[in-house]
Amino acid sequence: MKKIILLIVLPSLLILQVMINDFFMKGPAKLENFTIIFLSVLIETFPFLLLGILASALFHYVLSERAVYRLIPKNPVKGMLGVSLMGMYVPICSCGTVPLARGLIRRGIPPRIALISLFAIPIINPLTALSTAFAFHFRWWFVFTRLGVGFLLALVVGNLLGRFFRGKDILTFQESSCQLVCEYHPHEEKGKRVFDLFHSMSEEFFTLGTFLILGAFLTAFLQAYLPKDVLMALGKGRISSIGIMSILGFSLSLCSTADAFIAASFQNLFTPYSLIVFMLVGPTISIKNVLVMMGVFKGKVIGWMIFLTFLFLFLLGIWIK
Amino acid sequence: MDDISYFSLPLFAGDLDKMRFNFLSICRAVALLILIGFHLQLLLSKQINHYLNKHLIFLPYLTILFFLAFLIGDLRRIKEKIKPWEEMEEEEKNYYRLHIFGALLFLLPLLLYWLLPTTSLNVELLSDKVSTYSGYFSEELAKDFLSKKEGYTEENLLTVVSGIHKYPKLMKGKKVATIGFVWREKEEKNYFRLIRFLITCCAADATPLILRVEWEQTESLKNNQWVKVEGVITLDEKEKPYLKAVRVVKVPPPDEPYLYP
Repeated sequence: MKKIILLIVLPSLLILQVMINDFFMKGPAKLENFTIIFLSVLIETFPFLLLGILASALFHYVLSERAVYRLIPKNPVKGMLGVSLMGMYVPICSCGTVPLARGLIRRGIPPRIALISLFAIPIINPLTALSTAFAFHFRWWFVFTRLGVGFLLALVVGNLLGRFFRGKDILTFQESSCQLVCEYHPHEEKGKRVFDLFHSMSEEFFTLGTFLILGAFLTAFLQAYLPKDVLMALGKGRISSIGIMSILGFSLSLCSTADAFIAASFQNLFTPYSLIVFMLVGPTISIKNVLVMMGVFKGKVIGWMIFLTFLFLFLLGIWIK
Repeated sequence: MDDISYFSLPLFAGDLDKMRFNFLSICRAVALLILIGFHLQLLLSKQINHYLNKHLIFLPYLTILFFLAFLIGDLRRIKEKIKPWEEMEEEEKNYYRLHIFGALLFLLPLLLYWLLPTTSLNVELLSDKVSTYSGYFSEELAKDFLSKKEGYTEENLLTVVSGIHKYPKLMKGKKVATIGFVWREKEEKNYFRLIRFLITCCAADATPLILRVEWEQTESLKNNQWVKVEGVITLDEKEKPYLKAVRVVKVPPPDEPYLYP
């Protein structure tokens, strides 16, 4: 807990110091830009985040986890394809997929298939596609590339991890799957009343919203305070742009229905592929998700998962134009 | 989950510790009420135009509907049983600390909005290298502009910049009146840049539309001042078009400061 607070508080204090210095030296102009960008990201992203939460909550209330497990084909190839496309009819959020993956492994589904679900469900789902289309003003390249590369990422990383850890137990002994950031999920609740649904959704909104506010804060700071020349120089470099967007995606921990709006705000400054990287890293191996995964998977598995994801995205970035 | 969800007020000692209500639900309900008020204020004052593309105004209404539903959900939980703070495990306490911090964090954007009155994005978002870039030009607007008869026509900056970008030579001699704000990056004396931001979804994706304006009295203008410029489109020695101003009038900022593609 203290480490998490330090991770948030220390950078925030540094940012605040820059903002206060600028305010007293040069006046409120940059602070005005910061406030407008900060608020506009939140106002635009809230409804999509809320729709994502609604879909996730409805799924947990309408379908039991057992019913979902039954949907997965037993044949390995069909199973892989099945879980890759599961997000199309089970649009749950990224931290909701962690307990689902754990449940799959416990029910004897091969780990590689469970790990594929972890990567594929938050990305290959209709709400992610819709929010990406909206954010990029219906430029379909962004939507299809995000879903397509996400599909490949899930298959490659899931299979490689399955091969590395074949025959080994990849789960930790802890029962709790979502300490700290994910206990709000309604997946353990039995109540089916509509008010319980609203309450669970509210809990989820305030948790995910915290990350969104921190993300919007950092986005607005970068846009308003970092010199545009520096940002453009970094953003137009093939490798530097992927590196920066990977770090941003990893640290901002945004939900897959919200991150496209943050990515779109950088579209004049960064390469399109780096924006895709941002939208893939965030919902899969961000700090928030890693925290959730630590309660379920062994550290070695998480370490390899992060390494393979970055490696795959970097290599693909070098290969494609 | 249910048995640990409720606790006595953790932030104060003494008799307050005996209070029997769900402090977290109260925090959330208050935050939701303030958020609803904030969205309504933006919509009713039409200040929403400073943040969001006007074609997406339905989005905040959707947000308000969700918040109202959440408010009902949270209010119904306020009086439920409480687990005393001192009986909680450290992990449970951390859970609540994190969630109370989250609810308080939601007040940050609202505080910024209420304490710092903003108008619209300003020249601090520009840099010299960005000034040569403009991300969007409309072929349709450019053709429409060219087809208009002689004499001053009042056009928005997107139309003018689109025409200049698509058909620079055909634009020579066109008379135009347009609105934007002033950018004098290095305190130039004879020219300034007329700016207007184009937004696709929200202010975070703003792209500057830029038109160079030559005017002898540029020194009387300050950065971010909104002006209406009347002038003639002229080509310089490198065949690059600019607006030679005949008249520049200071005007108040428009209700809709941004343009949309």
